[in-house]
Amino acid sequence: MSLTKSERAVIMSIWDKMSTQADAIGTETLERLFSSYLQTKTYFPHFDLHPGSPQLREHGSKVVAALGDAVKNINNVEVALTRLSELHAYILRVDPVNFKLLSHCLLVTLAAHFPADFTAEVHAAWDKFMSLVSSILTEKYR
Amino acid sequence: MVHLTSEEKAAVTGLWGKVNVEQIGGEALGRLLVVYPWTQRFFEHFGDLSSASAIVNNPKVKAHGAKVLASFSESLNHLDNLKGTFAKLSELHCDKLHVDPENFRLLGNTIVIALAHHHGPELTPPVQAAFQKVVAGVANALAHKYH
Repeated sequence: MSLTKSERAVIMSIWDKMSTQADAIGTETLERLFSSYLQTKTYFPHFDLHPGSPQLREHGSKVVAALGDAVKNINNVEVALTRLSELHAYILRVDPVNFKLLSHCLLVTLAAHFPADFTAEVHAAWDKFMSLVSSILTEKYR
Repeated sequence: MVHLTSEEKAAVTGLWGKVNVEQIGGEALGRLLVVYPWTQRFFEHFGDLSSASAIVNNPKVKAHGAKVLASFSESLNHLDNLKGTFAKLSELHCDKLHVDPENFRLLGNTIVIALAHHHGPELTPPVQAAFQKVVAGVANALAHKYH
């Protein structure tokens, strides 16, 4: 699966808007994940997951920053995410089903924050991009 | 059976009261066909699905989306008996339409995204969570009679 030229352009233009609210988007994505999919909290027993928690904000910020790295290296996402791919495979070992759940919650957050921009085409491009990121993060699992 | 707290029920009915069911239904189905193009396999008779723009403006897509969401809307009155409510539709989707139940889950998520798109500030994380329970319940009910 690879991104077309127009998908890359769409992804980058939404990233430009996202990056100005990166922390808020990251935090909200995680809040949505932990509210809708309670089982995802099992990966964070060491965190305070209440809305407003500084750990939630810090982690949300980290997740969106990593997506930003992937966007900035959109022609070679595998290289940009090598370290994170190894982290998820050997240390974190988050079950692969959870990447779809996180992706969905990010898309819901984008739809809510950017109603004018989140057309079906943009939705499709970002869904595909998140699917690509997810497969890179799980590709070393076995 | 879907277990919603009384707050969740209130949140769902509260938001649903503001929803333009026809519009959200058409949008949710359109997004399904654009984002997951393989789902078009069930709609070859719908005419022009050749581009995102053709799909979202296609009158048959809009009409069918509206029909699907009207049925979903009705289910909100029967949250304690979704399996009974959807028994006949479940048989239809299995025996006549031959739809993989995974598609119900995909559509449930595009319904939530269409809601976020039009009612972003109201679809807070707890409200989304309530809707995710409902769409999961409906998807399971529609798959329940499969054999």
